[in-house]
Amino acid sequence: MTKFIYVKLGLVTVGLLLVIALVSVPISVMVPLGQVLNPGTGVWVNVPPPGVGCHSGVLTVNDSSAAIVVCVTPDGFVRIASNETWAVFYEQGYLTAEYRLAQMYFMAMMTMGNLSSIVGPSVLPSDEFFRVLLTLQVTQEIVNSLNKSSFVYEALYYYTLGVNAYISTLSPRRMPIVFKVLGFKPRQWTIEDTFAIQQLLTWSLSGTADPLPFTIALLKMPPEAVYAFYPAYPPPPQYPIYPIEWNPSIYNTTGNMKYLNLYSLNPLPPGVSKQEFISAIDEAIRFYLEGDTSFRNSIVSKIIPGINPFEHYVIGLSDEGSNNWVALSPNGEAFLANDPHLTTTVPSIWIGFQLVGPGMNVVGVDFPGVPGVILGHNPYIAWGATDAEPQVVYYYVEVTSPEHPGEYYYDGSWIPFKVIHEEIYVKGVGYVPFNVVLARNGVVIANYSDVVIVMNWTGLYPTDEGATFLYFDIAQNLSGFLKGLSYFEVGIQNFAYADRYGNIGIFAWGLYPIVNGGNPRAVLLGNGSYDWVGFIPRQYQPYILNPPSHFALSANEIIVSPNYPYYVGWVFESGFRSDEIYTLLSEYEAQGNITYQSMETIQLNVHDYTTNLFLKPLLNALSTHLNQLTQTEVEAYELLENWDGDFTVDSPAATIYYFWLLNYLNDTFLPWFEYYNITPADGLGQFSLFLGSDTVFHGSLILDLANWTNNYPNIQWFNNPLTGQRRNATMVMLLAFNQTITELTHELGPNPSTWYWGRVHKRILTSFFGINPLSIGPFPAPGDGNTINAAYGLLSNEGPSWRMVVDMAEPLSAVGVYPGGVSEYSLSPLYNDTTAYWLNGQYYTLIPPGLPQYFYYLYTPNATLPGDSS
Amino acid sequence: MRLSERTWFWVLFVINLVISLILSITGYWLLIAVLGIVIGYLLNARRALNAFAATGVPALIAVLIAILMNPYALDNGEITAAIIGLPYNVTGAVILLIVTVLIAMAVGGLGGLVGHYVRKLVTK
Repeated sequence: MTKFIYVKLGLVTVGLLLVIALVSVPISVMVPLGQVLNPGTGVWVNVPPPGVGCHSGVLTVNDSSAAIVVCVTPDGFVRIASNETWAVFYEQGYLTAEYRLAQMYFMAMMTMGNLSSIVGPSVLPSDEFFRVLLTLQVTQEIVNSLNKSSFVYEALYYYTLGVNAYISTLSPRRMPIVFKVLGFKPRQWTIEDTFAIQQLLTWSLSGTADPLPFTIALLKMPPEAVYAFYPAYPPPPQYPIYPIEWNPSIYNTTGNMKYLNLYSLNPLPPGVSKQEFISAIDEAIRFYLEGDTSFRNSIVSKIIPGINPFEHYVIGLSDEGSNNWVALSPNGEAFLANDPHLTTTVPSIWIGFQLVGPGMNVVGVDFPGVPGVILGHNPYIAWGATDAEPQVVYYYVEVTSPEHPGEYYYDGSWIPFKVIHEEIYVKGVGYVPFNVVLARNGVVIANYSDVVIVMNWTGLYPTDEGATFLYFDIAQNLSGFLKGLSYFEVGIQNFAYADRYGNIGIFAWGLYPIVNGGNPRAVLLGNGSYDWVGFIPRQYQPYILNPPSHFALSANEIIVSPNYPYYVGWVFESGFRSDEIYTLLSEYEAQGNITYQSMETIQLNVHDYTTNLFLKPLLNALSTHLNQLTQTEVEAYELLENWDGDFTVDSPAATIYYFWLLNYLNDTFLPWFEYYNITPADGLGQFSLFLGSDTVFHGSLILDLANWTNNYPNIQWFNNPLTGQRRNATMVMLLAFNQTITELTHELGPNPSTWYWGRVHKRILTSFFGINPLSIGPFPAPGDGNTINAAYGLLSNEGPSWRMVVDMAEPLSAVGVYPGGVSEYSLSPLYNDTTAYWLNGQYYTLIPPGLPQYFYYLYTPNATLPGDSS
Repeated sequence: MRLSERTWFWVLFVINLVISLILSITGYWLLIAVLGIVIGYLLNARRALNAFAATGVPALIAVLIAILMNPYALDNGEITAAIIGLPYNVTGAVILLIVTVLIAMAVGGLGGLVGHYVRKLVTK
């Protein structure tokens, strides 16, 4: 009997230990179930952050006290007013952490190359990528160089204190669920983390790998094809942002263009064959495709969604384009409009803030983790930004030799590569050694059989773009704005400017590298002869101020006229959005109709300017072959014939045109790329140069096609080199039309009148953390990648991430909207409370009536600061 | 006065429920196993099933109460389900809830059985 009891005791003891063991061991990258499901501290206990409302109090930090008023409003804004500047930034840090803790930490961890310590080995390539961008080193150097008595440092210091104050009081009820599942406990926030986010943003705004595929083109395609496909200056129609007519002074210099040959293959290192060079470039391309999260988001996650729910943590931030413009009304009021096109996520990449302190009352949007307001206005000035997209990333192939292992030939001597030995902690694996290898002209991104490719980027050196926005926030006039702008060096933006005095302008200041030889469009020889010799002097950098047109605009198009003396790059947006904006602004200016309503109408415009270029030739081609068309094709033709080119959700013609244009592009160019043996490893289908996906399809090819279709319809490039068939534009247009109708009939049914654009084209606010069920949408959506109201791709998570219109004569009436809301916690009403407004093209008044009077400080005569009795 | 076996069962059941609730709320829910051992020992039940019921069921109820005290609990369960790849709806949350209470019952009940058999050996 006793023996049986011993056996039973043994069995239940083993059973108990087994259960405890099972709930105590990690599952993949998830912490043990016993922690996740803990009823007292696990996922069950979370509560949303505070909702809409105001509260006031006294804040005491380091023996200093300040009166504080905080309001959270249902328009995506957190409003902070205080009688002390430090308290404003402290509170901003605290509240950003309260509402966006997971987002800011994931962004910082990703950019610091530490994401795999949270998520595991699946994101190791991302960590390696960001280590190569030298984020750890650069952020440290920036912090070391800060002036500790400056306004900028004060903002950073107290912002960081505020974040850490929140973290120190973080209870299980407020610990983000995603942290609990992954077992991540946020360490203390540092100023370096803020600069890491800056580094992420500047890379997303200025990083490019285009010289790699362009070098492939030079290696594999004959010169006549390179000339035809990739002109160094884009074909018309183009409205440069800084045309010579509006500011001839920046053109009045010698520059470096005369030393460059933009169509030649650069010299190869001695002993390196073309095939070895191609292999090295392919390896460099692979480095980007696997490591850069913007590529991961657009490619990998769409191929294998859901295989590993942790695979795609943190949606890659990408910048497809943006719009801004400034315009004067007939009575001299300066208007500014801006809509930056970034990834639209929930939580949004933006968080709205109004910051009120002594001498400061700024409202606009901010990146979580960064103090201040990044895009917005104050009582005196307004500003907005679009990506200028100049080339600030250069590539080199180093001269190496088996006789000099670990060295490269530079300026007449052999120099050892500098190696930074790093270790990346990978969850579930341990420390993984990783070496960052440096040459004098960049960081090594690929090494194929000692053919070494390095990348040089202006962001590899310490700069302080964050200071720009903090100075903008308190600027009172143009000189204050320009003081801030002088800090913006990497990720050059077209900063639109308008002030209460009626000044308008756009400025693209920053570090524009100068090389005095070779072809910077391609990989340069790294022997020292083609290195940067300096940067374009400030007085010749592109800007316009108070142009004679009374308006100026930027939409990522070519920035300068053809005769600008400096090389500034060549891969710009095709210019269709700027063409449309230019057309509309010209009309409104002529009518004297510069108002909130007209500016909003432009922002919400969904007319695709490419239809001005392609629709007429297509209709001509179809009308002359009507007898060869099927009944369905004739119906489709009639729909196109009666269409105005607007991509509205109820337009079937938009659907037909969209797919037809894609087919037309593919039918024209793909045979040539295949003929020249351009492979996926070379970037075929990835880069706009090689028929990238429709979300990035704004490069030169579509402009070439428009040019050929309208001016050279019999050019040889319409031929099919694979079959030897001689073709002209009409034949290829008809072929593409036939393919389109066949495809759409198969996908959407036989009745073209039901092929509404909204059936195939939708917007989605993707979960920032890559958790698909937490995404918002999809919603049928107007627009496409060429419309001002842009929605790139068929399932678009890129578009106007923030819309703002300001009349600086009445800045209190300024309006704006971003999709999502203040909170990252999906249970909070503030997770998604602004999306409907945004989708419907509505705007919030940025400083609405009815707030406590402090929030009208500097706007209305009697408004004061909290605690200010005067 | 000596309590009847049934009364003793319910006394310990309630004690177990209260302490389990405290342990659950304070985040020490796996200590329910230790509590189970103690309760199982003290109960000195004639049948093992009684020991399991007196320790496993209150653990289950306590954990369920601790979870459902938060009105957002099931919503949190849905978010967690979405994160780990389960359905993002109430089904996903309920799956996690069932797993949670089953763990509690297993830990408490098996602890109770350990205490029960130890008592049997001691009093043999």
